[in-house]
Amino acid sequence: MFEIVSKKTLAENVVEMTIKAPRIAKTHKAGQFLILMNYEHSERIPLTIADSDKEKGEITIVFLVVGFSTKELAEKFNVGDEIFSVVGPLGTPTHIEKFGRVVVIGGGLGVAPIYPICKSLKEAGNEVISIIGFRSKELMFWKEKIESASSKIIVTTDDGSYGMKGFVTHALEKLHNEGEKIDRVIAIGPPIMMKNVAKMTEPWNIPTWVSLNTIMVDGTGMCGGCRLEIGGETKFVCVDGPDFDGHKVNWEEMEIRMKVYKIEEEKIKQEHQCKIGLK
Amino acid sequence: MEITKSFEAFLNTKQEENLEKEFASALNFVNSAEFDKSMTLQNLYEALLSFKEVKDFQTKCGFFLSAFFSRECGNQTLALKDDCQIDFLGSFLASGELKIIGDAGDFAGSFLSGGKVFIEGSVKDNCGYFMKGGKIVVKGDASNHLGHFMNGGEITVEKNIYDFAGNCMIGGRIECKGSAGYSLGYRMSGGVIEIKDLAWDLIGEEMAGGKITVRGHIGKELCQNMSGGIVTVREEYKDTPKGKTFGGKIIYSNFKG
Amino acid sequence: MQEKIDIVKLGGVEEGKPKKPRPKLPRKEIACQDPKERIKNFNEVALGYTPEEAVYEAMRCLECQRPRCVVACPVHIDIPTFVGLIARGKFAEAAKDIRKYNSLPAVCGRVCPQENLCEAACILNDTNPGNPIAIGRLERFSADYLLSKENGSAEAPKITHKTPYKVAIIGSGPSGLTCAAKLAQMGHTVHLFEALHKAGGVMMYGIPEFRLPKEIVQKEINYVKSLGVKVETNCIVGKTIPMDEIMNEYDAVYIGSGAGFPNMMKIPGENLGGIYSANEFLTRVNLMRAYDFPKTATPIRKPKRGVVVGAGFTAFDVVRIMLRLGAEHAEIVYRRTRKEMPGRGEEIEHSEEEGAIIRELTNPVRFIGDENGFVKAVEVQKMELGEPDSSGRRKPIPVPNSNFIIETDLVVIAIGQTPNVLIPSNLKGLSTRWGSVINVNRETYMTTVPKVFAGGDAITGAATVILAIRAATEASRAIDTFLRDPQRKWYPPEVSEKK
Repeated sequence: MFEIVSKKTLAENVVEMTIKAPRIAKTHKAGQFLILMNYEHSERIPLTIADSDKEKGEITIVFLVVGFSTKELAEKFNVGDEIFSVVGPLGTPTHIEKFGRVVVIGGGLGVAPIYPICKSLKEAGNEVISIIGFRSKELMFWKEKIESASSKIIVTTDDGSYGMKGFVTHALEKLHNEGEKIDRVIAIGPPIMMKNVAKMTEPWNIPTWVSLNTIMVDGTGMCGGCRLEIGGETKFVCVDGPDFDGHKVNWEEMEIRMKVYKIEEEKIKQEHQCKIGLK
Repeated sequence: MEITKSFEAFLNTKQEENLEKEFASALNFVNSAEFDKSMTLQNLYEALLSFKEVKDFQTKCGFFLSAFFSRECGNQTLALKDDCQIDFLGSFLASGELKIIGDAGDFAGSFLSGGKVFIEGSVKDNCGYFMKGGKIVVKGDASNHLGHFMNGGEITVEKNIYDFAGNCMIGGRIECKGSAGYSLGYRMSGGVIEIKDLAWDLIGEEMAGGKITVRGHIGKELCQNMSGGIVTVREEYKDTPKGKTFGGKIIYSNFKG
Repeated sequence: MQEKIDIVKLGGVEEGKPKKPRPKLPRKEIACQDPKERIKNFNEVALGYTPEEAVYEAMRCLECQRPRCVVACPVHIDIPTFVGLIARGKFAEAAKDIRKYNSLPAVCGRVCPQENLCEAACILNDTNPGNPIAIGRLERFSADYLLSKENGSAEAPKITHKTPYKVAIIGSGPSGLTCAAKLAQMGHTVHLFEALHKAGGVMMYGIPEFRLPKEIVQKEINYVKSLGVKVETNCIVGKTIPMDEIMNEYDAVYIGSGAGFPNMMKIPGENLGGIYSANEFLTRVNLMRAYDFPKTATPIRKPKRGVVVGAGFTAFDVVRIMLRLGAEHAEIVYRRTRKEMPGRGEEIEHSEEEGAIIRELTNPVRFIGDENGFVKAVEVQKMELGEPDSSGRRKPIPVPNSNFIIETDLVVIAIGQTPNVLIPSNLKGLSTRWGSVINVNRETYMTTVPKVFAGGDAITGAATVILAIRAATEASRAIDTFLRDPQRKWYPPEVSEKK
């Protein structure tokens, strides 16, 4: 059982939660994720680890309330409650070394997982430029935290209510057009954003890494539910990833595989939520 | 030094590097001890049982008894008490006849070079380990690794033998009146194994020489990776799938005459 | 509170009186749920013997002097003794006797392929062909009897000596549990690590409820826990706990991580929606109980026309689950014929009773998707059998221009599993073959890394529960010898000879 230490609503439908999990906190490296189960018969949901504190033995997750289980987690669990199962850290950590100038892009919820990456990159002696994008000012979170871990920060909003108006790709394009030499791009966010970033950097020949969040069950390479074609080969996101070369990902397939449970999820929304009184 | 004192001293020694040295050490202790001329193996065993709770008793007691017997030789009987398994019974024997009543532990009759060991019960693992000569008769079952590294002599088992019988066997003869388990004659290079009844999977795996005869039913993967030797099985199993072989011979016989 | 069993009334013999075996009688068939009923539920199909039936069956046993069944049993359970105990009305004692050799009797009584092992060797096959003693069913009967009497709190056998040694066991499947139980009985301190949230490994996520009720598995695990084994779930060795920490803290490590990495077909369209690996499908259904949806929260795509590729144990489990999820049509596509199928005869029979269709000599070549990216059909090719290959089975060869299309909305690929790469990739110096199968010394179960032993499917590739138990039993002896050896001698496998 894993105790919830703190819980905060960062923006509409975005929740930050700190959980006591000493073992995971001790071994966590940037880019890894965990799998969480609310109750014994709940879904196993993969979530990225946004921060960890070795001394206190705590980990922080930030999640978007989308499906049934995240809604349950956000609404039924409070500080002091215990989560049935948290397992991690899973996946291969992000490759960190001294690259030079690295642009780290976070879109929407993707802002949370880039924080540990920025931190590690900075520690490794890189110049970190972070670009974070939100739909509007109300949805913005963790700007200060990211700022503290990078040498330069650019904020974009779709409606222009804060920072630069437009998408993160616009900011990246501007940066490139200004003639800045970029050695590496790391992008985390919705699949469509990562796809566009990867498509943009391909002609510029900048190595671009993206973090994929596919459907998975166990997270240890057992089920193959997260399989995806990467550079012509079938890879398992949970063990081979979640970080992949964005230029090699088969984005069309990624979109299809994200939709697999749409019909069923609609059913959960309708049947399940009324049953246990979430609606 | 009195014999139980001498055994206590032996119990406190550290285990030697190999089994031969361990036995030599036991023999030293036995030779330096003082005891009645009328002392029999049975009396000694019963006296040693008082140390039953001490660590390593099973091994050390077996070595001590074997050392005592190989000094005295002759013709003796040892009736075992059920509750405590003793290993290395009748090992390093060169002559004489030893009869054991009850179930022996691991390594019974190991390093035997002559004489006879009768076991009126079953034996655990590694019976006849590194045996060079002599004869072992087991009235009950023999557990795994019967005749491991066996180089000569004869073992007869009246009931069944379990897995890995004749493992790495170089010479000698194993005869079983019942059935044998898995991996019969694995890496065997010489000697003879005869099984009266069934033998299960993996007969003669990686076998290089010697002879195996199975008169009953056989399991799967006969003679996988075999490179030499002769395996004889019943005619009926001509069509059962065989493993890949590089040499050696499989004979299908009707066992008549 | 031992309930009194009137053994004479049940048709057995009283203790101390001679038994007159009745080997000529036919074998007692086990009662099953009606096929029409059972495809609507996930309850166990075979209902088990009643005490009368068990005693009848036990009375047939000759209790031979040289029992062949014991030899053929991979863990050498003393079969005539426990059968004799059942014939004398000592049901609980019979199960306790089995536990000396096998810590999971209720599981093995259900899932062991006895018809190829002990029952195949039974001497009654010679005198009364086709009617060997139903050893598996008797094992199941006595184990169930004991578990129901113990009521979840097994009385732990006395452990005489406690040793100062600590052993870490990775994986809580059949081999891990067995090794843990054996080592705990030898007096060592045992810690068992499991990556999922529930212990039990393949018995929990792989084998479906209707073949092996999860309640039974849980009871067996409770027995192992009662021996003093500490089970840590949610713990991935190499991730949650670094391998170094394990290596420093424990005197020996046993890897029983099983074979949980699904093989894929590597043909076009395999990553379409609606195509599952058998592992994912089974995990969702068995472990996450997706069939109980919406009581549980994990979804599963309910098929109308399901297709399963492969014909092993897993494939038959999957096809039967599909029918239970309400599929109108579920079929198995296999490239060889019925004769070569690795699945158990009983499973094939049960599946067909339930309405599964078996299509022999066909092999998928391509999956076809609809506009949403979901699978809508499988293109298959006819095959014919050629010469036998190294495994002794005849090799299938494609028939040219024989392709046709099977419509479907859910495909499960059940063509075998290989061990997971997580452990080998996290342990430096561990030698493997075929990518992830760990090399061990055949006799000592030692790997190329000192202190690390391995057993079960992790060293053989996917096999049966009983073979995993056998490896674990032998490995536990080797670990015990190693721990007690003052020199801690290490005999690594000869790696060069292996492919």
